[in-house]
Amino acid sequence: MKKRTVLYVCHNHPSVRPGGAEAYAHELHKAMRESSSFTPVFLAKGGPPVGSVGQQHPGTYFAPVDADADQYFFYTDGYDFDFFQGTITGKDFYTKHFRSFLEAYRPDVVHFQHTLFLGFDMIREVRNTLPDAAIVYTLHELLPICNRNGQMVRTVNDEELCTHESPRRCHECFRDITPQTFFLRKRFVQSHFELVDQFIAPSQFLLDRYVAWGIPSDRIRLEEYGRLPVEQVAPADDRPVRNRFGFFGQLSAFKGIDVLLEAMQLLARDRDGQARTPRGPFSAAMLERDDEVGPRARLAVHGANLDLQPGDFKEKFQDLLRATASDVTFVGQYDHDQLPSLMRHIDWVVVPSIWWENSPLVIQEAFAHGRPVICSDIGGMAEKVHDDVTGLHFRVRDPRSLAAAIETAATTEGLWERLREAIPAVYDMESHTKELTMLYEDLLFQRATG
Amino acid sequence: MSPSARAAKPKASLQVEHVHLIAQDALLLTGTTPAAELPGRVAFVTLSTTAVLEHDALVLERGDRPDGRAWFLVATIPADEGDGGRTASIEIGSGPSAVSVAVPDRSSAVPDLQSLVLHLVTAVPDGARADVLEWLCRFEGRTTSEDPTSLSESLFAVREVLRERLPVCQLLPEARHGLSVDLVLAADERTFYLKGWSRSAGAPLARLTAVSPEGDRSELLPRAFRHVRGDVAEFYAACARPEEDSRYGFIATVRLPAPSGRAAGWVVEAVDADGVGVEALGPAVQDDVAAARQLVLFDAAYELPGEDTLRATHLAPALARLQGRLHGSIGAARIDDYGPQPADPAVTIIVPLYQRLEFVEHQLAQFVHDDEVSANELLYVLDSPTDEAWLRHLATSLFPLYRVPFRTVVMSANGGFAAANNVAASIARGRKLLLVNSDVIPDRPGWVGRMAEFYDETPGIGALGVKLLYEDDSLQHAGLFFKRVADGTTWNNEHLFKGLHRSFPGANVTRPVPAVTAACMMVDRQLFADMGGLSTAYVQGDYEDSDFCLRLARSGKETWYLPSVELYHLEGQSYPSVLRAQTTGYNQWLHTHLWDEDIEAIAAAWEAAPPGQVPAAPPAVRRNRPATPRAPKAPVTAQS
Repeated sequence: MKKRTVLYVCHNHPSVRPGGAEAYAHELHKAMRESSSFTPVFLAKGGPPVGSVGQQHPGTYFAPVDADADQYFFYTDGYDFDFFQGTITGKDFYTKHFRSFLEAYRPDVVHFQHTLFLGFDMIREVRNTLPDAAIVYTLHELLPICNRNGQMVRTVNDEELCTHESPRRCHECFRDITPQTFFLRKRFVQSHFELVDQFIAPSQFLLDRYVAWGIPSDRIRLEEYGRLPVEQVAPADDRPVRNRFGFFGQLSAFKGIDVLLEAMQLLARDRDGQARTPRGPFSAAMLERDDEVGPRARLAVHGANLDLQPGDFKEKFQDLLRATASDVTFVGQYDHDQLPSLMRHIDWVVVPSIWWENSPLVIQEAFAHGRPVICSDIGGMAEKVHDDVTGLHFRVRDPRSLAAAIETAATTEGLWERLREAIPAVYDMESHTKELTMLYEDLLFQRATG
Repeated sequence: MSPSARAAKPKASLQVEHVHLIAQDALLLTGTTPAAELPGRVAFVTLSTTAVLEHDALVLERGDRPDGRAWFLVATIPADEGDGGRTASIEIGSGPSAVSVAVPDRSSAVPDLQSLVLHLVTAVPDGARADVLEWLCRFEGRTTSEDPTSLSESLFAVREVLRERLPVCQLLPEARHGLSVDLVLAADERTFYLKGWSRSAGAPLARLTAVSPEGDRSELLPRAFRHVRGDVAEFYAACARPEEDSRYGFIATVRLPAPSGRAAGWVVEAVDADGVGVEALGPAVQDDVAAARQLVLFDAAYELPGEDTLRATHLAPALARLQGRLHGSIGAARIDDYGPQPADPAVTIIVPLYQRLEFVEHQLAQFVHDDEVSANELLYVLDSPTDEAWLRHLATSLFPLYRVPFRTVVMSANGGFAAANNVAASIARGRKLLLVNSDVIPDRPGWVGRMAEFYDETPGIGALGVKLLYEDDSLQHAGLFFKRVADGTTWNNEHLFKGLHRSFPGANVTRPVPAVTAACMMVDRQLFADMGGLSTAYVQGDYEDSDFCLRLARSGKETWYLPSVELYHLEGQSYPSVLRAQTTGYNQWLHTHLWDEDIEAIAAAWEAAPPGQVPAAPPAVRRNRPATPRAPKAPVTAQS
């Protein structure tokens, strides 16, 4: 049987700027090159604001990615992207340029990985030009629901975690945007989403949010990110104590690095004051327990982009680093290739994000290397890490609760080994591409048979 | 007897002294005659034709000039055919006694005002100037000239010569007279709205007279509306008499017998009972319709609630003519089709657009999932023509993406909600019209067909409205009813169950209602045309809908509410609200002024129905009298 074509559309190419969703999408594309039934084509938005360089050749908005035959940049130079609505205002971007690409490749399946900076109208143009094509859309994050970069953390009530949107609630977060405008935004996005045959959510958390928002539950399914096999699993040294903790991620407030450093500070204070740090989940009664002081917890912080953060956050971060200098090592930026060697000196990975986290890749990384995870007890984190099974939960945004979890992790004999044992095998890319291939074929069959 | 006296012996026949071209197609002739009247026949004679002319003549009664009675004659002459009129002549009288005089060269565009004025100074005897001036400016109404400016200039020049002037008013606190003209506004070419103030420290004013640039005189007393002017009172605080009436301000709408087109030159004269007077020059005439409308609307604030004189006598006549001017010349400047249009659509959806064009994309993003919209006609009518380029860009950009066929109509000028709908209705091909605001977004497909079906199966229906929702699923519209405002002076349009949830049982009853909003209203196209469309008397989109429903009721048609069709109406998004606030008061007053008795009957029947129950159909008010203005009734309480 003739191979069919699947087009992947993404908002960025990982060779321009690294990022979780684009890295996954690109790995999927490369894995699909091995498929016997689908030929993949990758179309990544090029140019600003993600990339620094725009359109390469006059007269065309397309250019191959570094001379690769099946990867293209799609430039948007000269077109305005309306970030609020998620649309390019000059519609001939779709009806002329995107259409010409679709007509050239005539993909059987168009799988959107992201439409940021390209616009939701991309979906409609696929349906216009290729009425028989199957349209798949992976919802990596919550931008279609939440105008605050999809964080679902409110600007009011002390950065309250947002449970659901409504025109009124959104207007409370953005006082200069009317509820009516938020209503129209939602209707606009949903009008284009109407044309998608199958949504994919990489976490149950995302799936639930989107069903609550209005995507019919029979058109969305859970399908985790498939991961390529880890080339070199970081060995775990044979040590009697497991007191080495690691943070991997952006050094931003949303990632909760300050919560983690505050927890480290509490632990140090408790020790210096000869206080007894309680073990196990925190409760008032523990303060009175008279346990031995356990081994000191050590933390290594791996991460970058501190320079992009607001000044007061930078200051807070530096102050906390100084205050915890005896227990905390600031490693700084790292390459993905370095992960095995960095993990080698780590027992636990801490994910202290103060927002939901959609489907955090760092947890998959930690699990791939057999490291249990200590994480906030909400959203995609709580879903991927089972408390006291594959890691430990602590109360989101609560340094005292995190300190208690770290203390427990560092001092409870046999805990690390038990949790490590329970870590499931990481969902591999091969299974993932098989699932997706089956999905594509089902959808094409359904479209063909009406 | 001196030689000169001999020479001045009355002549036996009619003499022509001067022929003045006072406009391209109008002549002023002067001369003397022994008779009390001029011959009745005045003709325009060329080599090939003779045309009898419409004319107007004045023979001064007293033959106080030594050579006979002075006479003046004005006549409109046929257009210049290109020969400069050199071969034409005017013939006064007939037969052997007829007098003939050549028509002056018409190749010069501008009348020779200097010689006209110089001649009139000598030709018009003292004491007759006012009479000649009055006679002359009345002629203006007869001119058919396409360029009335030159005539106005001629008449203004004449006025400047012949008018008896009063001292120009000096604004000093101790002066006997104070007079100021703050605003002269042209509602149309014969209707002027004047505003200013006057004070007389001596005898009360005997007259307050407005003189148009062309010399027309309009007496403002006692008609003018007088109102308190705090700033003037302050100016005269030191020397005002204790009992002095501080209503120095005056507002008056005057109607001239002939058009006035000159941009400046209005004068107001104030003369007291002792015959002492002053005059004041008015500012340049405000002629911009939109600006004029706003200025007049602002003045409504001078009237106390419950009073009517200012609005009925001065504001409404001016506003009616401003609205008329706005709509008189308005039409479709351009029509474009996007996509193949249905040949014989059942329904035309009319969506007026005003500035906020981004709604088009939002509507199309919903209409695209409803085949009924594509099967019918969708007409966007742009009422802010300055946005034409934006609309064309939008339309050419959006159509290839959404593929919902539509037409765009660009209005020749901003005419307001009613005018935009009326123009669109005249272009619509659908058998029914569905008026839809641009900020109305359907909740789900199928609404057009459901409305058309209900309309067809409901005998006696005139207008059909539906359930409209806010973005939080509260009711924006479930039918309108009438209620007197708190001070009892006017009726307001109230929204049934506004703010309650869309599921509220009372809002889910299909029934006749007193009125529905035009934000989403279906009406038969022929019926709409027979009713004359939406009223353009209201300013800027307010009360046209209930006015329309009241007219339907008078002709025995019912207005129905259909709750099974639900759309969102993101009210307050279509228009900036600044203008709204200024105009609502006036529109509400006008609505009451026009419909008080009808509303009274309909409201009584509506309120008689127990709350929460379905009231009987409101009585169809059948009366054959025209909607003449009348004073509002005595206040009644809202609960009565």
